[in-house]
Formats: sequence, C-alpha cells, structure tokens
Amino acid sequence: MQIEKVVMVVDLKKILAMWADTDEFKEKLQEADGIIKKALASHKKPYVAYSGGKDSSCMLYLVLRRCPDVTVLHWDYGPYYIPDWLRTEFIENARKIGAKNLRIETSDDYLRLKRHAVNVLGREYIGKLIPNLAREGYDLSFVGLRREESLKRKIRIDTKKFITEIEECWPLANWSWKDVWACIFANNIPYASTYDIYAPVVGWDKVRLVTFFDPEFDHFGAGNVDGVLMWRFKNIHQG
Amino acid sequence: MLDERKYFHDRLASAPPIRWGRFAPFRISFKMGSPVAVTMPWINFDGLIAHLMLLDALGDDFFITPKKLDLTDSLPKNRRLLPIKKTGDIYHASVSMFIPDSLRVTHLYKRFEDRWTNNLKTKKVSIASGKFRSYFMAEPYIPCREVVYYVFGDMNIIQDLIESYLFGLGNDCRVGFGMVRDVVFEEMDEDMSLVAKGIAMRPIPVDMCEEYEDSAYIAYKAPYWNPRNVALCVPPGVKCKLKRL
Repeated sequence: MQIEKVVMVVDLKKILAMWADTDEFKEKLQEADGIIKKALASHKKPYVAYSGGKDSSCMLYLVLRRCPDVTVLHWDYGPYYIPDWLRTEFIENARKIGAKNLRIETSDDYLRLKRHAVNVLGREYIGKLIPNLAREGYDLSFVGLRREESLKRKIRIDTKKFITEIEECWPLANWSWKDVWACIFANNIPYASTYDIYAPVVGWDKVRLVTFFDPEFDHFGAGNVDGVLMWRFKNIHQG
Repeated sequence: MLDERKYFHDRLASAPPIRWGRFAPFRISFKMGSPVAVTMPWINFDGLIAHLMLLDALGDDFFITPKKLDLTDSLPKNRRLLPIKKTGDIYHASVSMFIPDSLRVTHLYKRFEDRWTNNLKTKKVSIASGKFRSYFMAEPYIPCREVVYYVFGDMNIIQDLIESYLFGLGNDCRVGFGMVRDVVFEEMDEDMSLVAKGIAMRPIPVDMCEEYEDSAYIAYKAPYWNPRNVALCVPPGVKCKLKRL
C-alpha cells in the first residue's frame, strides 16, 4: 500500500489568533483589563513604558482603550543597537495603536560609545530619567513584564519589587506567549517586523526583541543569530 | 618583550614557498556529515583558504597567533596572496551555497570543564557568575547535505590544502558541527566565482560594478573579522553587472 505524504502548511498566526476565542484567554484579558482599570483609578499621572516589543505593544493597546491620553514613553537605544528603519517602525506602530502623547528619550552615550555602550539603560534611564519623571509627577509606570519570561521576573512580580522609584503595574503578569500573540493577531495590533524574521527560526514562543549586536548578549550567542538574520546591520558603524 | 608581528613574519618567511601552477575555474562540493554552524548567512571561500595557508605555514604556532591583530601586512608576498585569481581587491571565489539552505537554531551549554582545574588557585569555582559562568548559548546552524563553492584558481594547491588541513566547515567544529564526509573537485569551462548569470556570487565592492540592485556594508576580503575590510558591497545573490576593468 502506498502511503501518501500529506504536507500541511500550518499558518501559526491564524492558530494563535484563534487562541483569542478561548475562555482561558478571555479570562486573562479580563484580568489585565481589571488591573489597568484599578491602577488608573488609583493614580493621577501614569505612563506606559513602550519598547516596541510584543508585550509592550499589547499592553499599550489595552491601556489606551481605557486612557487614550496616557503618556507613552519610548527609550531609544540609538542607531548602533536598533536600525533606523526599526526605530521608525516602533514609533509608527505606537501611533497606529493610538498613542497621542508619545515621549521619546535617549542618551548621548549611544552615539558616543557606539557598540561599546554598556549599562546605559541602568545609568541613564533608571538612574536619571526615572527620577526626573517622578519629579514631574508621574506616579505609575505600566510595564509589560510577564512571570513566564524568566525566574528572575517571576520573583520580581511575586515580591512586588520595583526597579525604579515609580510604582510599577504589570497587567500582563500572568499572560503566556500564546496570550500575547493571540491578542496581537486577533486585534491586528501592529508589531515589529523583526519578529517575522526571527520567529520562524527561533520559534514564536521564544522570540524576543532585544538590541542587536549588543555585547551584553554575546554570552548567549545572540551575536551569532543576529549575524545571520540581521547581517546588513552588522557593519552599521562603517556607514 | 616579544614583537608578535616580527615573530610571525619570520615564521612565515621561513615556510617553504608555494609554487603556483595552472589557474582554471572549478567547483568544489563538500559532502557534509553534520550541520554547519554559522555566524553569517554565508562562508567566504577565500577566508577559508587564507586560514588553511596560515595553518600550513605556522603549524602549531597558528594556535598562538594574536587575536584581533591583522597580520596581513607583515606576511611575505608568497604567503599573503592566495592561489586564486584576483580582480581588483577581490578573489575569484564564491561564498558558500548550502544545499538545502534552511536555518535552524539550537542551544549549547557553555559550562565549566574539570580539565581547566589545573591552573586554578582556588578550590571552589563559581559557575553562577564570573569567568566560569555557565551559559545557555544560541547556535544557529544549517542542516545541509552539501556546500558548494565556485573558484578560479590553482585546483591542485587548494585540493592539497583542504585535504591536509581542513577540520570542518563553519563555526564550532570542535563540538561536531560542519564535519566533512567527502570533497569533490570538478573543473569547469565557465568562471562562476564572481558573477554567474548576472548574480553576484560573493561580496563585490560597488566601485567594481556598473549596475547593481542592492548594496550593504559588508567585509569583502580576508580577514573578514577586520572592520577595515568593510566597504559598500553588492551582497551575494543580488543582480549586478561588473564594470569592464
């Protein structure tokens, strides 16, 4: 008997979008919505920390549904870690999601130190920008942190440990990667196109958006993966 | 203090000269026994041959060559030039063609091995942080059956270098990636090493092209790790037309 080989072309995006119809997802969505509602009611001047990644895009979409005028804070890692076209995409996506008050901050260190700029986020963002925001009256930060991401983040959420002096709110704390993608695909939330480059190789469950060719991630082999998938961006400093 | 440049120059100068023979276009096909780990979408053939020529000249000293120090300028001419035809600043050697070409990513554990204990002063080794920290590292690889190159050069010297010194292709051969089962050399009538059917077969500086559809900043000559060797190039696989040189 001849066995016919059936080749199934699986559209993972459609399958993930279908996850949005499940009761499990609806419960998570309701929970996140409740967290956002409560946080907005109890704080005067919140902002959304938006990196351009999938989690913060999803969270931004949820927060903007309840508070369309909320400040959206985007930290720009400079042209040596994030290509210009991707930076533009982040900003366009935020606007498409509905951000009206988009605030973009960066540090001169990224231009000065190029790909030797290490720990700038801790020094400039957490050390200088956040205290400034606190002085400006910001009292809450929406952060797209999830328990599932790492043990360190799980502990941080469980112990309610804020890394900044401004209180943090994590509406997606209990979401899984499936929930995030389901929310994105089912609601047509715009997301960074690099996910479409990396996810087919590393998997939709493992794909993360981080700075490219960043020496901080060299130990994890990220430079090798970037070298293959983002090879055009490797020699940006020569341009 | 030892002058590394001078030491390696003298070592290379004392290596027996390589006598070039007839140059002809040919195709090399590596039959692979294990997937090829990569750090770029392709592997440059002239880089590979430059590596094998250094191994040939230096022997075990190759493994103490200084890292991130480009020795090219201090190499004697006979050991600096590869047995491959050269046009302008680039060699007639294509980049790798992986058959089939599909990228995968696996993960390796970089962890402490007890063979390193000989040189340790302390009895306890921290694997949670510091020099011996264990890492879960991403390793991109291409599970191909065959890797093909097109070259215009001295096939006999290249065959000899490959058969004598090539341990494997690509990154992390030491853990089993890129093992070669067999190598097939075939002479060809046509030179397909630079541009074949209007398609760039290797990075070609845009200065050498009359027309091109795309460009990017990439290294175009060995050592490919050196940022000095980066220029605006037509990447492999892109339509282009060479200038008449």
